[in-house]
Amino acid sequence: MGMAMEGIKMSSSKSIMSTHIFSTDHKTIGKQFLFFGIFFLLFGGFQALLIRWQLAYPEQPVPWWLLGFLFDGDGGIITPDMYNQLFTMHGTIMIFWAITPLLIGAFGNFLIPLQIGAKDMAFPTLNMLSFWTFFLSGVVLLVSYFLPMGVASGGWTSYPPLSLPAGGIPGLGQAFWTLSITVMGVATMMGAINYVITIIRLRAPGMTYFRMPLSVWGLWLASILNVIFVPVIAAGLIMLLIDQLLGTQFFLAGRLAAGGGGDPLLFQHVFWIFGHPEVYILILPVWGIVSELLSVFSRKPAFGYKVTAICMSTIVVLSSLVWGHHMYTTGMSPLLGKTFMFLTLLISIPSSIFFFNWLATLWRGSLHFDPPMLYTMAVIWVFAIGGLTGLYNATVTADIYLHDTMFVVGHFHYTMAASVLFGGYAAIAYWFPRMFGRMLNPFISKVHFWGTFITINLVFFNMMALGYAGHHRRIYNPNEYEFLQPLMDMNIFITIMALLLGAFQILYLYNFVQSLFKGKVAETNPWKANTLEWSMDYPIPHGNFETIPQVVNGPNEYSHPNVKDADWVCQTVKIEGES
Amino acid sequence: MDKFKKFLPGIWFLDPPKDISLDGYRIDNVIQYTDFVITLYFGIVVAAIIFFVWRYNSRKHPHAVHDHGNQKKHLYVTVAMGLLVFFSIDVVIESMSFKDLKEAFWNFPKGKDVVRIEIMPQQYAWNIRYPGEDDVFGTDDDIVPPQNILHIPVNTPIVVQLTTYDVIHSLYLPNFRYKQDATPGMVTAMWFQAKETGNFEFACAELCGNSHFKMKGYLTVESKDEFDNWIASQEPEVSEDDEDDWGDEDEGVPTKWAWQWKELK
Amino acid sequence: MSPQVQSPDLLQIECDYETSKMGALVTFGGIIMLFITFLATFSSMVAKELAYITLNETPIIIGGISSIILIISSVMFHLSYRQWKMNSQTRISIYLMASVGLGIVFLLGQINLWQMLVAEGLTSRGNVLAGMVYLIGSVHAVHLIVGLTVLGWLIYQLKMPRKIKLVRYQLIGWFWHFLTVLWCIIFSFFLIVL
Repeated sequence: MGMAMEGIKMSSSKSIMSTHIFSTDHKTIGKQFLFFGIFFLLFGGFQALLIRWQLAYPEQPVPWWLLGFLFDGDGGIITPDMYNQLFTMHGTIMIFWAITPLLIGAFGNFLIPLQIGAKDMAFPTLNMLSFWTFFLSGVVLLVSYFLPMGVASGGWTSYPPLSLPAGGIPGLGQAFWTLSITVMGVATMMGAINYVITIIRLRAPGMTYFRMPLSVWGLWLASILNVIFVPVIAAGLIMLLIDQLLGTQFFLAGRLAAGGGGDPLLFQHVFWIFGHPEVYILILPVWGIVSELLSVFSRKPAFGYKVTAICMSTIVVLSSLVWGHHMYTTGMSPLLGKTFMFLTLLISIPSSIFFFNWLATLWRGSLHFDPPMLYTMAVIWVFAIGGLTGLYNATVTADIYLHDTMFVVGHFHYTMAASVLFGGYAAIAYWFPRMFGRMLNPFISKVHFWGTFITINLVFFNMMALGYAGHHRRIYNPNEYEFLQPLMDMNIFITIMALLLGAFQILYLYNFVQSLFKGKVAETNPWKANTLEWSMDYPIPHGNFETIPQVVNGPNEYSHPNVKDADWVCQTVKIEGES
Repeated sequence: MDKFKKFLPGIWFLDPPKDISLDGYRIDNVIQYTDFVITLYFGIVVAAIIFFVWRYNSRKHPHAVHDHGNQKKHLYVTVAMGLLVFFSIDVVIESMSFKDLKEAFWNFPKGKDVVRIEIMPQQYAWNIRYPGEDDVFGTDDDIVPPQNILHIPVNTPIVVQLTTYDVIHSLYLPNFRYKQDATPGMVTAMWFQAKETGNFEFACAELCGNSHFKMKGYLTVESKDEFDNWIASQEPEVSEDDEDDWGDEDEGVPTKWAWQWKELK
Repeated sequence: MSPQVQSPDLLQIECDYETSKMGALVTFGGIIMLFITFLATFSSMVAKELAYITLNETPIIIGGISSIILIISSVMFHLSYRQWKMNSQTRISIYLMASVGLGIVFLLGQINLWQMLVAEGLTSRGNVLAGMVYLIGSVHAVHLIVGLTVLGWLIYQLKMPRKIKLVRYQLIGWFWHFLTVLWCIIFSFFLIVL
């Protein structure tokens, strides 16, 4: 790993292999992560539609337009074990193989060196290895679809003893699940170490921590959390894996354990010690990107830049102390329950502060509603709902009722699906010209935005309403319960909206592919942004900057009164009268 | 809190299952207060967005005001914002919740009139045991009704202890706004009290396998006399001097239970 | 921590050295988190009295001896590094080979120790604490095997005419010492907790 920058020198001999496949250029690796993430996003999204189909039209044949032929073997219907596999893999894929590569993999790679003024990552070869290890983990995951007994079906949390052979799930699916996430963890570690070091060491002269764009702040904090907490889940997964394969009993207890056994709750603790920071790992890049984009499209510096950065850092610290709120119903001691509730509610303070800063950035700005801005505003909306509804789940008493209901499903989809999706769309729309030299079609983008915005809210808000009405999650057929039968209409409505939501994403895909090849050729700095990545012409060569830039400004000095003729100024250009 | 109920509209347009419990209203109240406060804050956010979009869009407001928001006064506003959230949301919800936990949910009733029940879920059914006449578990007169049938008397505190036969399950009583996990290797407890009679359902809330969705139980809340009659009509469990405490595996149903009632602190 | 080196060329070179060292430290941090989780899980199992291990003297002595062997291996590496730094080529390979050899002896000692424990009835399936001991030992052993491979590579490289970079030699040394220290901590942790 000592060979920083070696990759640049080596790649002078240009073959397709070294420039497009086993490239050490962070921009290429970023794009690889992007396509990888989009593939799994589609795959996971398709599974979500199948889940919705089953919930609205239980045990009715899957129609051809949802690829019903896949279920021909079972009379065209989704069986209970398939249903469990679907929601297990939907959650697993979306979290680990769609969101992680999209935001941290793609934009982490693409943005960090460009925005801090570095020629590449600190360890380019490690960076490439990270992607290919990630790829390997995806392959392991996909291979498990061809196992005779099918994929894992123990939920994305995979609690033992259910996820152990003694729990009754047949086959090797669970073991493949554990193995693939372990491999994914190794890849994430490689990437995260790289990001952390790159930001600490390779910032251009003058690029102090408080001159970094907030998007880099978000990615940096997420990577720090990754470095600390991925090993924690790795330890848990290794123990789970040898429980599954070698028959040890770390997480087995009660009748199923022959000789004493261990403690299933330990896995839950380890899982959520990682799991809660993980949800912040997923959302932190979005917070950063939103803060950055709001400033660009308001033509105004980010309001309270330092405070926002400090608030995000505070949340990083708090996020590692609140895992217990996922376990209120496990019979935890009253003192622990109260402590976790107190700490969890504390998160509302820094969150509300940077939320306030976001809104204040709009105040007295000059708002340009280009597609990236629309998506960004959508993040504010959906994250407000997602964040505020977290209060119910943080409260011990309310959570005792709402835990394991559709309410929780709706809540975390607002934070981790809706916010992250819109954040991702905003990032793609904004940096698409930088990545591919072309613009996304703004009209289709706007249609996609409104369609997605309306349907996604109707899907997830109604899910929370269902949960409030008592609908528990992960059930194959809600009609089994009398008290859930009146909710069937709502289930059908949600499914129709979810299908519409899916249709709008196909439109998006069309826009993406069409613009990739035939979109309008972008100018060098289409959004008139200050940050370093817009300071050179497309295509950006391997090695990015010919000479390392000297940074003199903060990242968003928009509409500076001392700058004549323009409302922006590159970070490298000195502003009169600014020290 | 009851006073507020009238003018606190719920934001959830679907009604929760009928509350038949003594303390369920506490949970409804916390939820209602949270509804109120998050509607308020969300309303502020939306109002701000609409106003800014209308007032500061680039057509109407072509030149933005350069402002870093890093002056002292901005910091004061920000801190005030944080404190406002802390006192209006965190402190209120927390004190409500702590009070409810202390007074009700974690305050286990003691005394003679408490009905004690042991519940041991298995994949995919509920095994329920009453102590029988001598009020001691693990004796010959224990009552084990058919699986998934739970009877409780009305207006009587019920204390339930749970453990599981195999994987993790969770006893979910929607009409009591309550759920409690049953985890292998440990005994967990919950208590509740019904204030109305009737027939209700309960469910397993923790994923426990393929037929998780079918793990439904039938709850009958009846008067004390009816309950006593029902208990009397059940055959006491036939005790076998079996070495295996967990019963005969082939039958699928445990005939004997491995744990004695645990006195809780 | 400040990257403000004015000349761009200098920046790259300076970063190479410092950056590699920092990368190694962060990686060690990750490895430490992995073992902290294992050890915390282990102590939680002990606290909950899920199982018991009573050790008699022989395993403790064997464990102690193998720890000392690992420490000597670390010392050997350090000696080779000092020789190399002083540009005296004479005994580098011998020291390094001694280091590798002692590492292998340590691993064999571990296997021997575990066999002894299993013979006493402490199987990984029957006793979760024993299982944890074997697991933690194995994960450490996997890291040791990686370390041994890198040491082997180093010996091979030293035979080549091309001069090896200082930072590489240094970082390999860090890793090897890190594993030794890690083992000592794990071993004393076992002794204290059990």
